[in-house]
Amino acid sequence: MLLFPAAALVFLCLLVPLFYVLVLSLNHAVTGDVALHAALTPENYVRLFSRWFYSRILVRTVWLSVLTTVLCAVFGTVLSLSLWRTAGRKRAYLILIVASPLLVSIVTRTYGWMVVLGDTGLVNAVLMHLHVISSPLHMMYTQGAVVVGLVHVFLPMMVLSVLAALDKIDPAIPEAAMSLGAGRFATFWKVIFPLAIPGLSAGITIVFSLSMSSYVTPALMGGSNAGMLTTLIYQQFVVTYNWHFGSALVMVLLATSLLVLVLLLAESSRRTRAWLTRK
Amino acid sequence: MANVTLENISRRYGATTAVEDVSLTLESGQFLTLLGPSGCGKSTTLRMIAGLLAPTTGRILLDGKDVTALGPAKRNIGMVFQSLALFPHMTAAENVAFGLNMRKVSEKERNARVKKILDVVQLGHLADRYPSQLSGGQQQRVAIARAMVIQPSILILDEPFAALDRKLREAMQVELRQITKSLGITSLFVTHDQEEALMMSDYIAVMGHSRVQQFGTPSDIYQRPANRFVADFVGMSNVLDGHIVAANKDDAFATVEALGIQFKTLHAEGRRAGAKVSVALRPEGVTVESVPVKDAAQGKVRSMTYHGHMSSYAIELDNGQLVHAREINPETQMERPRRFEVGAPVWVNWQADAVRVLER
Amino acid sequence: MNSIDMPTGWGDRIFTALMRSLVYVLYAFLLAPLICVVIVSFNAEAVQTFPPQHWSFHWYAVAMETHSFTHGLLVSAVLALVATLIAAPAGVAAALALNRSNWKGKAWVEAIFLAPLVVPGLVAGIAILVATAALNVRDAPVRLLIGHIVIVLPYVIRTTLASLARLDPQIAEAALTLGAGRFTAFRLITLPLIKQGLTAGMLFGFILSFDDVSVSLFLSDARTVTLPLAIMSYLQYSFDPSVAAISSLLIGVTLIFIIVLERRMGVKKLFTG
Repeated sequence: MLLFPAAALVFLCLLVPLFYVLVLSLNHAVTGDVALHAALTPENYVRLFSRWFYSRILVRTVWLSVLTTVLCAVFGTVLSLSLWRTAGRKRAYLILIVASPLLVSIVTRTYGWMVVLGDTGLVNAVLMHLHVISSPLHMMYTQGAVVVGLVHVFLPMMVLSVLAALDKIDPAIPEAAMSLGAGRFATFWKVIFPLAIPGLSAGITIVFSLSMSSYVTPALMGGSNAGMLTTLIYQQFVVTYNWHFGSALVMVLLATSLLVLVLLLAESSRRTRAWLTRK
Repeated sequence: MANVTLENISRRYGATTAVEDVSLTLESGQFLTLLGPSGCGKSTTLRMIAGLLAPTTGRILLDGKDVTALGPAKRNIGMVFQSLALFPHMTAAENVAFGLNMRKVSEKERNARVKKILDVVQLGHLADRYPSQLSGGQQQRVAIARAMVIQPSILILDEPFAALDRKLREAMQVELRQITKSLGITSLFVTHDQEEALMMSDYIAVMGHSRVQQFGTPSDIYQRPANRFVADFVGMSNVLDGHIVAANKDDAFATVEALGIQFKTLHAEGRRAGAKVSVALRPEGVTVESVPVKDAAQGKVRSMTYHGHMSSYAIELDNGQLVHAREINPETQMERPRRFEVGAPVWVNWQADAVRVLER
Repeated sequence: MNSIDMPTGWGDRIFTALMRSLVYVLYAFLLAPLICVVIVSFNAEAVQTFPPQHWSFHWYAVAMETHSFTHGLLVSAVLALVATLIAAPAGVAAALALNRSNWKGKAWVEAIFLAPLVVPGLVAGIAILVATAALNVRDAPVRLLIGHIVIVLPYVIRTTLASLARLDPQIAEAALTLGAGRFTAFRLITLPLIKQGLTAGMLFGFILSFDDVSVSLFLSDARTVTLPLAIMSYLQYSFDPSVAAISSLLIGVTLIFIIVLERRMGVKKLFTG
């Protein structure tokens, strides 16, 4: 069967390992022990949720991810609408510009932000030159820097996702709305936005999930104040070798992403079920 | 209801001209069709009247008021788009109510008006369906209802029936005309379908090459096309070279010669003897005989197509010219139909009052 | 969409002007870091001052000679290439099967194959680390390869599937009636027609594999390090422009790839296959 090779790859290389991690997370934590045991215990999860030190990191991760997602949603919609109304070659080049960050490694992008926001970086150099400030603003190694970095990384995905939904809208529809008396904002809010919801939901789920699981940007730009779940996971697997606790963290990460995915899909589906036909 | 005046409207895109110097007037309550082939500028003109596009030069007046600078919302027009542009996420009733919502009409009045108009278009029972759950014809009616419920000054329709099958289209044409007549709405219609235009309109503006080629009533356009373009468009597909043999001011008739055949015709006003003219002729006006006839041009049948109630022929004359002829197949001859075989020699003539004489 | 270019009320005008400025700011925001990286790469000094006082190619030379970078480049390139070459046939086969089929649970099966897109890279990387450790496979190249195949596969499937969906099934059937065997029909007829979608998927997968950090993070070891990881660890203790130089090179190469592909295929196709 044609499906076999790909199915085998996905099954063996991803699904089975994930299951392994799940079981590992439910095993008693012993440093260095990777074998699975039948005895299951929730102790790793209890440790995560009962100690504020760890929970705080989880909360912070969710909060920053939500913030990033909201900013991406708002700005992404603005950019998508602008792109949607552009035509021809110009649009092709603008899409290329928007998508270009996607094709550059996240390390490079984050490094770029370090250059822009650093004490001797672009922003500070401009502000000092204009004498707006006299000493550099310390923008790096803060939660704000992390959000800026994350928004930059994920904005293109949101734009592409929303644009895909917008492109399915009959271009005569906003014209019809305007001919019936709707101003620009009314046309957007009552007509275009509801039709773009499928694309927006898809974008939101992707961005949230990716923000939660992003390692490089928080690690390089966050410093000690902005420790995220991913940094904690990294420590468990590479530094303290507590793979069981680490597995629990990983499962929580996965579960949060999937939860958001399911919730948003359900909500979006509920809103659009009546009128959205699938071919 | 409003009357519409266009004064020297043009629309250019850089070096290309979509619409050139168009002027027309549509009286209140009348039905005007912009007729023409694709690319002739009719849709562009329509969009300028609707306010979706700004003219490069010229003025647009609604009821004497200059609306050239106003957007579509401020012109109080009702527009039916070619793709219908129904809002997929709203029910039929919500679609229709949209314009009333924008005008901040009270809920009670809004519901009453929506119900009334849906009943007029016979969709009362489908008010809560979504467009994706409606048939093509039903969607059409929602689009029309949506445009009309706001009581617009003019109703604008951009090839609304183009996507419908023939039967449905004919039914909708009749229905639309009845509605606009009974409500006395000034209507502007765009189509490339000549029959549709002739059937529905009070006036027709035939457009070609970005200009208005002729403006008149349907019978004006059909029987007295002003030039070759219009003649060809309304089905006078034979255009022969001819010249005026004799014409004098006192006599209403002139003698014209084409293909060596001389005939007298009324429709050669103002032409002088010797002037070169084009003789335009419908296929239906060509008579074909299988035996030699006086004053006829000889030729051979090149091809024959059977259409059921009629047959059409392409006849190649001895001088190389191609003439198209059409004949109704008389019922009495169903058993022995009088049809010409391909290759058969025939003689071709026409009736003097079936031709139209035009500038060369 | 035809923008309605009729002038509208004052409220609308202000709104439009604000939106337009916001859009410009956003484009600047998107490009700023990348442009800065390129500018900094030409900085003659070691510190990332802005703007550079002196310009030089010095750091490019340094970057080329930094062993971790060159080694990383090799590792990343080979890895991406091999992963793509393995994922491509498997992906095409899967796409063919999915396209042809019409079973009840088809949507679910499709979802499973696109699952790697839903599972965060980090999670996938750890999962593979743990599983391979349990099987006593401690070989970093093997682990990395597995991880990267998982990265590339869904992109190949997705774009190929989209290409197949646009293809008239009767074309291949015509080939069969003319006497071609199944595989021949595929090789001579279907394959050339889906080439664009397939290439887009392969290219996208290659780039994402090359740039990947989250999956590779847990799968590499001291001896086998991918380029992004090498850059990242370099950044942890040193901040000189050689990072900018190697990054600029990567940006340049990626840009060239994309432009060449865009010329031949159009941007839309690149991202949706």
